Amino acid sequence: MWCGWELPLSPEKPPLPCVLLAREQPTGSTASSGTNQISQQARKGKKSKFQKSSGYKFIFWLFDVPSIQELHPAYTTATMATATEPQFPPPKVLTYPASAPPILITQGAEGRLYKTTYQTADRPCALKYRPPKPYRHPILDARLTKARISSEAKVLEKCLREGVPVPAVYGMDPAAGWMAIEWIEGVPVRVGINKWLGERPDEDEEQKPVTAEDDAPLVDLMRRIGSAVGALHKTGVVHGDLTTSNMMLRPWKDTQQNGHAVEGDKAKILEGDVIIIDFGLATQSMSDEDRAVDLYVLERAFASTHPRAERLFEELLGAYGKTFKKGPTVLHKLEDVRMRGRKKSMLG
Amino acid sequence: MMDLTKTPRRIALGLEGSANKLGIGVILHSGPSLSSSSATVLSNIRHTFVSPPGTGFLPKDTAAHHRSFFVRIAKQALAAADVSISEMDCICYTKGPGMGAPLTSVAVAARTLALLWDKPLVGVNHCVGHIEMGRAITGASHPVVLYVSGGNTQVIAYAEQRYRIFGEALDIAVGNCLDRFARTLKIPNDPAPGYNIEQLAKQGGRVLLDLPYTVKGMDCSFSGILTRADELAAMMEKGTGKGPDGEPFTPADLCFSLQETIFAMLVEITERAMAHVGSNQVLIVGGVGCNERLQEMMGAMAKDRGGSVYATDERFCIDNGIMIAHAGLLAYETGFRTPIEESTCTQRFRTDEVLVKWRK
Repeated sequence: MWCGWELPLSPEKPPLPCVLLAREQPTGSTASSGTNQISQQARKGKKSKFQKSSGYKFIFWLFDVPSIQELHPAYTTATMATATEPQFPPPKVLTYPASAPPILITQGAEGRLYKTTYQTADRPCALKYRPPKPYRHPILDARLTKARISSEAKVLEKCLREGVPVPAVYGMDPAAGWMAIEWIEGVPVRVGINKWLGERPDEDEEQKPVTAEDDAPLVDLMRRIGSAVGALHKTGVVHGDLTTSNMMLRPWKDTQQNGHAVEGDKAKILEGDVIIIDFGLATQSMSDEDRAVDLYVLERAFASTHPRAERLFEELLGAYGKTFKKGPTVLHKLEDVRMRGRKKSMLG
Repeated sequence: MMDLTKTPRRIALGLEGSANKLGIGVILHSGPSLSSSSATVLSNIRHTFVSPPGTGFLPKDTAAHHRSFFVRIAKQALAAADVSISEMDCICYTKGPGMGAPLTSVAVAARTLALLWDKPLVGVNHCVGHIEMGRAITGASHPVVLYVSGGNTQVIAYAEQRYRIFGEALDIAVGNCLDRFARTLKIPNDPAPGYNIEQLAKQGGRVLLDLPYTVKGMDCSFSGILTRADELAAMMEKGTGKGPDGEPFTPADLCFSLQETIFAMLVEITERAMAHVGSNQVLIVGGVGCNERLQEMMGAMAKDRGGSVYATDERFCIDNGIMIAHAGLLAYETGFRTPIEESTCTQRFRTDEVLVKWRK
């Protein structure tokens, strides 16, 4: 059921991508262009924020950066100086003539993220490319790349079908190592929260703690994150690397406030739908243990990324618990996971 | 307390016996301060307990080996170093992690020497010993460290006075996986099972057998791979094993496939850690670090990232006394001592528990 780009037979003919998981057009209109079964199934289901929202512009994404940095708070951005990055030739799929040249957005350990367009010049898309690893045996390398691309696409497709807000899959070629997905507008949640916290007057230990009322927009965002993670877990997907960098804050359109009152410019920082991204480490699992570990990773990451907002994590968990039936069980399990810690005591 | 960094020469004796190697070495640090001091290896003697093919080394037998060889090896090390006992500043021993019985036997010997010669004791973390020795030998300044041995598999980077563990094996260590597979194939343990697997793997390469590949983020697991490799070996014994090309596979094919798979996992988790800390240096330490195929794969990855790989040879990769002496002396220079009442040893001692006061 997955299909890739139809590559041109002659170089002057531009590549013709096949539509997969067609989505509503980014015009905000209710007219639907999606005719395939999957989107129809999705539309029959519960109406989610994901289906209500629209709009595709944007430019920021974090790809394949696991959360270890958050587990080791000592790694500040200062010590994370970037190594001199060599220039890479783009993957073959990006070498065909196009109106807009592809832009290399980021280079992770696993692969690279390009920004390009899909079908029309005004619809941006993200292309995840896993280049061959020179150190790996070619048979093993091909096997892993293929399995990882397919599994990530399968997880995304499953989320889409269930109405969980994730980027849509446009196309892929597991053998060639790439996958084209929807470009998500907005900024990472990490950036939004830091901006929000940064605009507050410096909060010394002695000063009075900020009251819950002051933080109402942040509390609201925490609840939205909790619901998004809950929705993800409900479908049987465990992300494996939940951090505030792996969630996007896609702004609401001015015309549709989703019932949220406008509280001046500052409150706007935290407005938007929470879209979870980067499923490179995701697995399909319904076990409470796996879900609890997923939450634990997020908790640790959150505490080290946003120590000043740590006390609001309870709000996230509260919203998570209400999202699905097994939520409270998972939260109970989370207490065990916290006691145990992620790391084993070292054996000989 | 006298400022030791002002004295021109500092000498330490290092005693290592956390696994089947008994290593004793003498190191000299010369120069006025910590930052500008240079390390010289005065002697580095090792004796390995080798068990028959098809068996591993048991704690009881290994401890007996260490006890019976300790005096002989210590005398050799002191004679080779050509230093008198009065010149010695401290006695460093492995506090852990490792096998209980061998650790205890060497710790008792270390206490005995300390009381006999009236020298201060310094308990050293075995993993930190490997890292510091690797840095001293290769000159790598701020590397991501892959520490791979029979008991440990860790990806480490330094930050804020600690060697932080970024990734590690969730079950058995990579060297343990290789050692146990060598037992399955009844490959000799002399000089080391991993070395013999490496030589056998050089004859393979015709086919790559399908083995599980278990990387979870920056952690990995080896027990499932070992189980599958053992199953394939049993099929080969019975003559029912067929490779992807339909031909029966050989022990060399198995060794080749095992190495290719597990080393690819190690290089992958190391690459992730490097991408994180923004380092393009990688240092391989520990017994498995001697493997030339692992060094070659790591080199290919590092080159791709515009960096380089640092590795040492068997003298410093495989457990040795000199690394304990070196790391112990570094700690001693910052004022660290292990009082005789606390000179215990422990099987569990995480790398990130050590406060690394000698680095900025």
